[in-house]
Amino acid sequence: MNIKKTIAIISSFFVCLLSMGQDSLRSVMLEEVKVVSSSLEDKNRQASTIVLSGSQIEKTSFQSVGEAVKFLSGVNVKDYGGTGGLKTVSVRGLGAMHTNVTYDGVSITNAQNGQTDLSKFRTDNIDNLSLSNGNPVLRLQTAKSLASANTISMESRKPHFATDENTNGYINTLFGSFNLGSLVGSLNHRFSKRTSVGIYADVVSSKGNFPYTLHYGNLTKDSTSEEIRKNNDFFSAHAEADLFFEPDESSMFKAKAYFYHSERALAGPTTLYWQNSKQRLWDKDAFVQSSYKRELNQYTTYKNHLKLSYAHTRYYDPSYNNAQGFQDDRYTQKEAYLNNILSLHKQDKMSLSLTNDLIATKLDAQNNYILDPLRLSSLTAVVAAYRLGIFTIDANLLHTYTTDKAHSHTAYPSQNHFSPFVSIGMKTDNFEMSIFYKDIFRLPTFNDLYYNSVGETDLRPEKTKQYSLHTAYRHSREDINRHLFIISADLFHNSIDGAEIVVQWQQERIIKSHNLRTSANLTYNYTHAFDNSPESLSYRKQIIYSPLHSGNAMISIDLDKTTLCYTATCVGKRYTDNQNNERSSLQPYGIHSLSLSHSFGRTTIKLSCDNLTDTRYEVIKAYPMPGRQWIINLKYKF
Amino acid sequence: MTTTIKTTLWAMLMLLFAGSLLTSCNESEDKEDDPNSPDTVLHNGLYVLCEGLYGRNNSSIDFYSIESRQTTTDLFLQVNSAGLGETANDMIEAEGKLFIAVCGSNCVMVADKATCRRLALIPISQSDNPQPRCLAYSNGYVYLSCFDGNIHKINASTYKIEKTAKSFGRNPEAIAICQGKLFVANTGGLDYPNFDNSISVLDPDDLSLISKVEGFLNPGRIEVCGSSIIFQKRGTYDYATSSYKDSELIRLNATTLEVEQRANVIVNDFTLCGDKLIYTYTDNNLKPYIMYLPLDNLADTPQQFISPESEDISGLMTPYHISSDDNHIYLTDAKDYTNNGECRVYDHAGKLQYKFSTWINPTKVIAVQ
Repeated sequence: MNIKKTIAIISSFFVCLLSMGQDSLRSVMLEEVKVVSSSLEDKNRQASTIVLSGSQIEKTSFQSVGEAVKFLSGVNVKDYGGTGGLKTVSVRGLGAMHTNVTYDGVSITNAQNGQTDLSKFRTDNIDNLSLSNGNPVLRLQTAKSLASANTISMESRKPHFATDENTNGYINTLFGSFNLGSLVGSLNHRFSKRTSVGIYADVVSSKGNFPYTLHYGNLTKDSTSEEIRKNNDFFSAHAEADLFFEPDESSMFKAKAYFYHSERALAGPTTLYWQNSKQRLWDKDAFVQSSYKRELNQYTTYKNHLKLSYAHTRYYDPSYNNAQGFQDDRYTQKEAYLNNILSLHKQDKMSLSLTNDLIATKLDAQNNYILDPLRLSSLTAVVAAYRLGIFTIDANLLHTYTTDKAHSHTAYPSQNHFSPFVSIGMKTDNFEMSIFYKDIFRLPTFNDLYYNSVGETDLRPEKTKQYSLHTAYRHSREDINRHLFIISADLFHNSIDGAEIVVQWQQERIIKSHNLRTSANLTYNYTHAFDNSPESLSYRKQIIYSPLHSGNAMISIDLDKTTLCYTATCVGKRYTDNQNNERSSLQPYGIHSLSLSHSFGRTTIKLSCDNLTDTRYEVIKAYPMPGRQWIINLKYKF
Repeated sequence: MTTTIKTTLWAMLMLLFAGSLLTSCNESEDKEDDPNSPDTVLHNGLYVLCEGLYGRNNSSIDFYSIESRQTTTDLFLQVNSAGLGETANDMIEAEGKLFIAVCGSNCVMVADKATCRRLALIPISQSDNPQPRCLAYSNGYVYLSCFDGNIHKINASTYKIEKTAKSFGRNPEAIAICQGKLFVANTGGLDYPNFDNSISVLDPDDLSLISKVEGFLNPGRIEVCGSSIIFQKRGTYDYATSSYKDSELIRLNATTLEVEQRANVIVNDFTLCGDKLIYTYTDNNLKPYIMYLPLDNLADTPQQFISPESEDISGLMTPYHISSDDNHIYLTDAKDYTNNGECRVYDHAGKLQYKFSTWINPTKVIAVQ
């Protein structure tokens, strides 16, 4: 990224900030600004958590969580393109296996490769998305959530009923370019004041046959050809059922049953002079999970989580040149998970929690090689937080015990490890500062240890010490001109070193006399993440796929029953090789999208244009992203 | 209200402008000086074929000028404005041309050896995924082995595939012509750990099977040595130590197809140089060695060709491919397989002459006079 581009990005954002700031001085009818979602209750500490709400997402054209999380500052989504393209997240240059992804408070695990594909989660049923660096801020936290470098939390929608309403729901149909079609249905029913259920289902289909430009080199003088993405079709069916039950004033029970099925073609990387991928992938995921929370007394809370999950993956390549002439790999993961939390807390001053996870994870493979590892894990943490005036100290000690059993391979040795975490922070009206130290203990995945030919059971667990210094200045007006401006600077050190500067500006205004609401959320992100191993050949080089500069914008105008939403994502130059060769760089891109929706009674029609300028770009080398895509939504609420 | 809308629209326009500027910047700045105009005739240098990284379409032919001591990264791309493609695996010279087997792109690229200008692209499309691997030349024909089990006979002048036949083994790879016979190593590499163990002997004219010699698990590189071939029996690959087990070097009489000699040594790669067979291997601690055996007695005790403590070997990480010509020995270093590699040039006594950085995963080296 050269200076010209840097200035272009920064100046444009600041022009936006200034221009809107000037206006805010003139505005006289500002009302509430929702900076973050209200779902993050029971906060332990003043860590920076970034939240994207479901109502914001609904205004946009985002189809999957994988698209929406790009708007969480600091998140770098590795998007392999199209509806069915794998979408994993990387935060501050760390690999996807360092990010813990939770759904309604319980981790989604992939013991095989440690990565969660966020393309599997549609935005229709998402209430909010959040990112926490270090530890999540919730007091009643599972032990597993304390084990990762960062956490992305997804909360599904909860039923909401008007006073005289016991049943509601909606049907949402969607059609788009490249043969995209989707049907979503949701039905909620309240049996009593304390008991309600919600059912949600969606089916999605896409051919993914979008045009793209194939580059035969990295320079503009190099040859190009216009191609159509082939073998890129996708189909998924997904259903969830939720039960919410409050036995009494101090208890809450939630249960969820989840099913997901998908079949997708794998187009693979675009290959010069040859395009003939016939690979396919099938996924079947199912789980039931519950959580029960009870206030035992004024100072004591008990909560548990239970989850039983099943995940089956089949990969088929009919043109693999082995003896049988094809590759047909099937993997089945079964997991049982139980978490118990007991928490003592005194108002907002202090809390002390004990949390324990017991996990049994089994993976079976049916292919040329037998693979049958079972991992039994126990994670136990003591979590303490104390607040004194503007200062908060937060600490925990996490103990991890695992033991593997395998008939097909030598089992990985049992592991015992204590991982401390301590954070000290201060926060005033305008200024916040915190520093944390976290010991991260990550076991090799089943692929690392047992996968066919390359698995090695003598791999050592990854032990990383993570340090982070966070400072932020925030300015918010709470009276007439409500808005929020935050500039934060973070230094971090773990397996990679880096610095991150984030400038974020949010504003929401409501002018009741004209039924007008405007909201804007602009973020600029500078992340310098580099290899810190002196013995490495890529020492002090920028981590691959991690841009120095990125930014996004989400601006919406609601006028009576019409909403116009503009989103933009700008990403600077990235490198796809460790030594940052120019030949391996990916060029910067800017993507602009617009959505226009209008409600007629119970019916809402939304027209969206993704990638308005038809920019041809790649997030992952040789995986082209779709160009301009038109989408029309028709939603009927009842 | 008007002001609010105006301001918001202004912000949108500015963002649109920012994005457009951001995306358009790359158009103007990525021009690079092209030191080799299309018709520049190259002298006194080395072509180095580099595989690149899987899935990146970034295989390259680098050119190192001995006079200027400069490397032109991916000369092929610079000359032709189009890259080699995905995972080029082998390169030979014949009739003043370079023939390159590009495995992932399923083609054989032909370039003028003097200029690196592309002369032809020969698509290999006899199956869904042919995966061309290795090349050999004899009497006006280029022979190509493919992982799908096919052997192709390509006219080196017209670039027409004149004959295609089965190799009668799994995943054929190394290929050589000796005593009027075409020898093909059937690796079975995609059935790990159930490798093939055969060498197919074909008639170069019609590619019919003359014989099949078995008992050499996972056969590798084949070199012609007079009236015999010397090839590598790689044995089982041990990922933990990144080396082969039960590895051997075998001399096979090309006429009688009888084994003449065996050397029970672990070999990553080897070349024939004068009266020596020079080979590389790495030990369990990933320390590289360059050894030799006398060609007249492969069963002899291996000797160090270059002392592991010598300055001549200092910095060598991962010996990848070794070859030689009348004057030099060329050793490529793949480093950690993901970063830039290196090419080392030694004299026949094992003295390092010079070395230079290359693109990722350098393999075959061809000298230009």
